[in-house]
Amino acid sequence: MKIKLDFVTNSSTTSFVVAADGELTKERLGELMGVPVGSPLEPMVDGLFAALEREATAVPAGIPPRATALADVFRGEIPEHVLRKVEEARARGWAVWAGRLQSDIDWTELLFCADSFEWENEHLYINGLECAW
Amino acid sequence: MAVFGVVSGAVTILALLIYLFPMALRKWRWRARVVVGLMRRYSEEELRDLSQSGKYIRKLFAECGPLKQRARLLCHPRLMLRRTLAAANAIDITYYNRLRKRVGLPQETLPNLGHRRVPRRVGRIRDEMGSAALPLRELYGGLVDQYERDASALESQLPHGADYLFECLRPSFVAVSLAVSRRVGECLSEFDSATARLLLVVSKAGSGKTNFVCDLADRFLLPWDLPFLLLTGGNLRRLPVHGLEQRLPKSVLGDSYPGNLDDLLRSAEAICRRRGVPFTVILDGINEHDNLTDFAPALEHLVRRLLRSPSARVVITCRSEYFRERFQCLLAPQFQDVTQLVEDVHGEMSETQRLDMLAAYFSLFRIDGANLSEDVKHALMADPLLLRFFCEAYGDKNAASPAILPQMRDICRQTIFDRYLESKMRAIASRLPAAHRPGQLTTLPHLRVLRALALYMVQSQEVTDIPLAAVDEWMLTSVEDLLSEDLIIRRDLVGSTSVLGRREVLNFTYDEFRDYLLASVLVDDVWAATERRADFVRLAEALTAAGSPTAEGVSRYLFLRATSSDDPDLRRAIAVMPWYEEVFVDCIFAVEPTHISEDDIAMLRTLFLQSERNAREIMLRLLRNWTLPATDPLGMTLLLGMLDELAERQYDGLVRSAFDAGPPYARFDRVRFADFARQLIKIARSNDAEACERRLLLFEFASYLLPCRDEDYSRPAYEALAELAKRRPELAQPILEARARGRIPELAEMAGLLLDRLGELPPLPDEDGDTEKHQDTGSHAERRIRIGERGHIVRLPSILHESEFVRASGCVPSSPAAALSERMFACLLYGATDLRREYEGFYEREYDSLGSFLHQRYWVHCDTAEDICAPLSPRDRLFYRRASDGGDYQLAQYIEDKEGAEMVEMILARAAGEPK
Repeated sequence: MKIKLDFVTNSSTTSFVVAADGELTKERLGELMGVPVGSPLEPMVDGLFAALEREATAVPAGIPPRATALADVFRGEIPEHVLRKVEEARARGWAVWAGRLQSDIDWTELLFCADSFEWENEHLYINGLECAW
Repeated sequence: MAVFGVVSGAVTILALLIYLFPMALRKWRWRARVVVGLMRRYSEEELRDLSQSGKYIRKLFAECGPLKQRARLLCHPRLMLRRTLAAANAIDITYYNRLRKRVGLPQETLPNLGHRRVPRRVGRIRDEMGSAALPLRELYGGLVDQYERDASALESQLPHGADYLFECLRPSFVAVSLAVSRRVGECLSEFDSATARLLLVVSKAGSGKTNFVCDLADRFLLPWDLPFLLLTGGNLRRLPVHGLEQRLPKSVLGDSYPGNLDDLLRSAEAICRRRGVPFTVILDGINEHDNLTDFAPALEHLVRRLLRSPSARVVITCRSEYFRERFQCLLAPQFQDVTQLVEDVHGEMSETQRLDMLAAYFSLFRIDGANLSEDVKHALMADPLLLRFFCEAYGDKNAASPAILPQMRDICRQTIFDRYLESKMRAIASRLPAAHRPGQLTTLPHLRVLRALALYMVQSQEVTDIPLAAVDEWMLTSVEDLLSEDLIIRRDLVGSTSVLGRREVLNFTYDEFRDYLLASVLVDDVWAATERRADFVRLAEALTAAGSPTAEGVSRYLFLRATSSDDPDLRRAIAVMPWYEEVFVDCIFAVEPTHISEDDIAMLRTLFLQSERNAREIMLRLLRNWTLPATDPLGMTLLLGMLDELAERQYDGLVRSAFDAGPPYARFDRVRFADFARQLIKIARSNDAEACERRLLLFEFASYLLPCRDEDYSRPAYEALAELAKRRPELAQPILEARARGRIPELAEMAGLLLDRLGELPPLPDEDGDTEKHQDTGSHAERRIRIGERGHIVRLPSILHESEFVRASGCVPSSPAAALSERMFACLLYGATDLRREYEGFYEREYDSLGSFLHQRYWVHCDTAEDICAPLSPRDRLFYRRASDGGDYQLAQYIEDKEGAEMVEMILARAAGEPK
């Protein structure tokens, strides 16, 4: 739990889920987003990766593969469709992370916190559909 | 024998002819066309009488929005329904279907109503048009279900696995359902009006009901030559209640009319069938009947009998309180399906219609209102009864030339009522015989009647239904004179429903005028008697206690009386009242400058810092006083002084929160100042140096709003100051230097930015799109464009295509980043003011408008708002953007921030072929 000590703003958080067939790296994220090295959009990848790295918590492998138990882990915020995706990813042996993007860290994180997205390729699945806005 | 037979046959025929001829003659004489013509003539005479008595003021009636359309549909459905069918046919549910498709729901279809013909027979309109509207009604039910309830019906139809997508799109479903259902609802309401048969117009006294029906008759039924009959409650009073239906035909068509009501209706029906139009019966002011107890059931019976005729339609007007008490029978189940009830004549008037109403009143009462402030005009437009008082107080229908009113910064109701009362008393006095005419108006018995009524109210704390016994018997003639004035007091009937239980009472027509009189009596009669000062406090507190119907009005008029008074004790007595601070901001601007003390100014400063609501109100009030001389205590100098003293947190909480549309300030009730800034830009651009200097204080005020953003993310005040800096640097410099030295860091930063570029900034395009930039080409010459409002300037080709932008961003085609850069380009067009303007011309040529360009290319693609928002009102659009378009809103913010702006600069530079 984060405790904010200074001026409290009207901040929001939104949940995300990441599943990958190995390690989550900046290069893989760039590949998933379609941003090659040297693209003017690279700072966006950097910003999002920093946020995911900071906020993502691995979902323990020992969690029973039942939607309800996973839902407990995700505090009931992840829709069933995503839970099914997560189950499939885990069945393939992928690692799964979950966390929350914050709206008051920096502009890049705010952008993705407020946006609604679901990206997938053969190595990586990111779900940020649960938009709080 | 044969001769006898011939003779007897001839005699029989002759006898028959003698017998039948008068009948045929009578029938010919009272043929349908004649009966309808006589009803028309009778109605024209009624209109003339109403016009002469002043109840109907020709050409004064202002459009009453949907009510007028409802009445026209009721009275001429065949003509007016054509428009409704066309509107229904034009309803576009493409976006709604697109959303449905995304979640896998079947597409909705609308019937093609364009080819439907309105039946010629009025009696068949109800059935045929009712069935035509059925699919619309079903769609409407489904749409309302989606935004008013939990959309469970829709959810149950979702294909397996689409529920998550529906959850994501739920806000879009809500918004689009709201937008489409409004259009469908409007059409359905028009269908209902066209198929209704009874229109009830019910509202308070003086709201314009009689004017409305008279205008309907005068300017719609008569010119279209529609069969109709206009009857007033006052005239119906002359007919015996129990023989109403029997006497009505003769009273309209003359005593020689041989038929009864059914014959009259048959005649009207014959004409109506031939012409395919309804027969409209208007019953105006049914509450004016003097025997309401018996009249109400008789009227119900009459209406029922009228509606038996298939072509008949009835319009009834009644005062609200009477309708509630006496005429509920008209809402009986047998009328329910065919009745339209309208309870506020002016409630749905648009701004334009209200302006028309103001202009019509001013023209009639020969008033030139050019000097009135917008505040005053809006107050008058909002309250037709107050407008009537105002016109009676300041105007003269018979004046040779219009009265030019002095500058008025506030509506100042007290002055209106003072003048109104004086002019009315003068008019009454002039009508009195010379022997009875008093030397001074103050001794006029009519004034004493009003005082007696107000005193009775103050002492009894009963402010309605004053018994006639409250005035002395010798005053009854004066009471009658006041009643005939129509606007001051009215006579009502209250009590049990039995004839014996009813009693006559008096009420003031306009509650606010009553409150004005109560405050006057409290000060002039109670406070003035020194020994009754304790009474004054007790009575004033009771009349202004929370929940009292007189609280708002009496407190306001007591404040005004006390503040304008030279009696310091009275001011002190009022200043300790619990409501004093509450009414202060609202009332102090209505006080003459000579009566405003230093204590008042100190109080205003305290209240300014007390709450955002106060600060906003005070700022706007003072801002509107910009034309007042510098010596005026409530002018711009005070406003700028108060702003200058604000600390950063106070500035954020009191000023930015009122004007800024950017987060975290953006709210629905934010003050929109873009138009104000646009006017300043126009002034700065004009060559009128004097006009510019005269408005320097306004530019100075705008300098306090430099960081505030508008809904399209532009900074209007910044643009205004930039323009001043460009055109008149000598005027802008001192203002910007003062802000740059100020205590608000962001304000200082932005003023500093402008100071750095004083005289360097490129001018903004003119309203019509002509700029120095545009003049040089239609070619692809390089141009300097500001990205965002913080002054990032880049060079780019004049027209850049979306695909070039996406390519320059270097991302993989069709990837999430490509979609993001497409959206970024759209936001750039939408958000970065200069660039957007630059592109508008190009995309307007290629697409219908920038809006449609965005619809087609972006917002739909990324499931965001603009296409869905298009049919919404600006307020709803803003709400929707805030609620569900956070993604693009933030994206626009992102590219205005340093990191995003640099990113965009780099992409644009790459697109222009410049390595960066």
